[in-house]
Amino acid sequence: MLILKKNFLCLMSLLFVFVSVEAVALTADEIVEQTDRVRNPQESFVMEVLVDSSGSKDTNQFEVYTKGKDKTLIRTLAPRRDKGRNLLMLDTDMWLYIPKLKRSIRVALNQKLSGEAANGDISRMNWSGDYKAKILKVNKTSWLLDLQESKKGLTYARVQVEVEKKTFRPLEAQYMTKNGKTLKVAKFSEYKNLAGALRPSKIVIQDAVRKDKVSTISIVSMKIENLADNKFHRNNLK
Amino acid sequence: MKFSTFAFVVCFSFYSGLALALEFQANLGLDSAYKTKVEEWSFARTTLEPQVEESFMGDSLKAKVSFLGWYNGVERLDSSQNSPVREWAFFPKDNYLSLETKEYELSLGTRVFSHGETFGWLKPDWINGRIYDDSFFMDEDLAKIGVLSAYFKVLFGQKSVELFFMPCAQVFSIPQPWGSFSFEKTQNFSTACFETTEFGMRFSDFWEQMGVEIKLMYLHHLSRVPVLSYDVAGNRYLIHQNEMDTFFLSANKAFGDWVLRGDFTYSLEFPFASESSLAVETEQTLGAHIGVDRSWGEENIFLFQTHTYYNKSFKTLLLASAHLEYSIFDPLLTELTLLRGMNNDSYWYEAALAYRIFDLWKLKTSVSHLEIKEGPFGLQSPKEWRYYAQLSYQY
Repeated sequence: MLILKKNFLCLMSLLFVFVSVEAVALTADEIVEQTDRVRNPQESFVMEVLVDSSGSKDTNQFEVYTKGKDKTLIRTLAPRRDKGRNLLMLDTDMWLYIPKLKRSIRVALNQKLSGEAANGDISRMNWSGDYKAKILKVNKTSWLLDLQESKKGLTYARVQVEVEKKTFRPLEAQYMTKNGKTLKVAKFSEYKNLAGALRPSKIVIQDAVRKDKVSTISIVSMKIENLADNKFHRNNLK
Repeated sequence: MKFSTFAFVVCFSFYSGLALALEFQANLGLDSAYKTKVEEWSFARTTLEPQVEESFMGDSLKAKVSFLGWYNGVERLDSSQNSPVREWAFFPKDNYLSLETKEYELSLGTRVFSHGETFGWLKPDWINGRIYDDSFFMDEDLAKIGVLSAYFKVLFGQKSVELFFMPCAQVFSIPQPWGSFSFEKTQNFSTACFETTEFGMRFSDFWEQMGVEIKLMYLHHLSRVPVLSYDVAGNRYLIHQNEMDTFFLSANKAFGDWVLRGDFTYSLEFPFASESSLAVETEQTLGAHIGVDRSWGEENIFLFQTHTYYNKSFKTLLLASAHLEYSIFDPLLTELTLLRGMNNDSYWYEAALAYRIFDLWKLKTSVSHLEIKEGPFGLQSPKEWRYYAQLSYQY
């Protein structure tokens, strides 16, 4: 009898929790923040990334250092001919180090990293802060969010992303122009333990018009690391 | 029309597994020009630029060794007795020991530095001396000679301060006798180390709110661009070099897809050839190089720049340049470069195709058409075509 009573209480508790989650109306911005926490740690971290693009035999290999929401350093490790072409991003300002010139040059933010992968696909792993979100649609298992740029100079002016309710995992994102024309579609998959949490390790980015143009971003490793501010100095890129 | 242009580059590479990155590059080329009575020439060049870098003490201590060497297989096409370029050449590049922390860097040895925001051979990148064996057509980065220096850099916030001290005078590497003319250096300074020294300080900052990066530099240096005067009696060119002081201001700002860049200089004792080309004068001179560029995709870039030098005596030298790099498909890159004098009829147009054969192999061919009627600093060149091809391998 006691066991039955306990089971009943457990069942009621679970039901209460479930009902509570449904009942608590999260704002769109809060959902985006939770989604960012799923995608990457909020502390400074280092990750190794591979990018494979259709039509290219090369696999691009990058070492990415991120601190906060606005500092990212991307070190190019492969292919060999591009080694040393390191990218620094400070908020929406970007520099590229050219080994041959022995200097870092200011570049526009829209410069592609490899294939369909823009710099922003790797260097800006947080949507919150960059975009103002609103909920477009609520499905049984997911939200469809519309993210509008809240600052100039972002890689994508608008993003529509589907987020799984249960886990806050991003499922699919459409990268758009300000007017809503879809440029690329990104799919997040292969969740694995990275830096202490389950995170998407594979992002497939497809051109919205030319469907055969596809780039796959694979996160090989990710670890939390304390990074000094001077690591993100434009005169320290070599 | 004679056409005997082809060039290819052979490069060698080595890689050691002992945490050493050895980088070897070699170029073998054959160039040709026609419609030039005096300068008709061709050459085949093998260039080697090895580089070795090693880190110690957890990347705090670094040693770097690199040099540039070449061998020219020279073929004269006219009947003159002289070779236009030297057969063998050797230049130091980066050969230094550096101590680096998160905030500081101190290096001693020969080193190649870089300065300026704009691109092209007219920009005021004057910390290092240059190789002038190929007149003004050698790759601008390859042409820099490593300078014996003590260098110190400190970073704080987004600011940085750099100090340069070069104890030995950097004198020109000038061409060998050219056709029936010979060259002779003229300089009124001692070439002994610690007697004629060069030094400077550079400050840089990034104003985040405005998105503007600035660099300020003062440099006491020897003039970097050879100024030629003609010695009638000796039937020779005198190449002038003098000590001078220059204040530099460089800045950039991004506007969406575009980046605006500027390099401004104020030089005391700036040398230039007189109207008659028989003498060299020095005067305070202002320089302004302003450019805008747009990059898109992985390898596409378009840039447009104007280059101006101005002083009281020397009429304004104003040139405009444009450069386009466009990737037709992944391994094929097209390049178009235009350089045009705005107040004279000088021009230089170049079209190039670069094809990446394998990961590290690249074949590049180009054709240039140029005529320098009233070039900067006394440089002149009659109307001619130049063809060039290069096969390169880099590791």
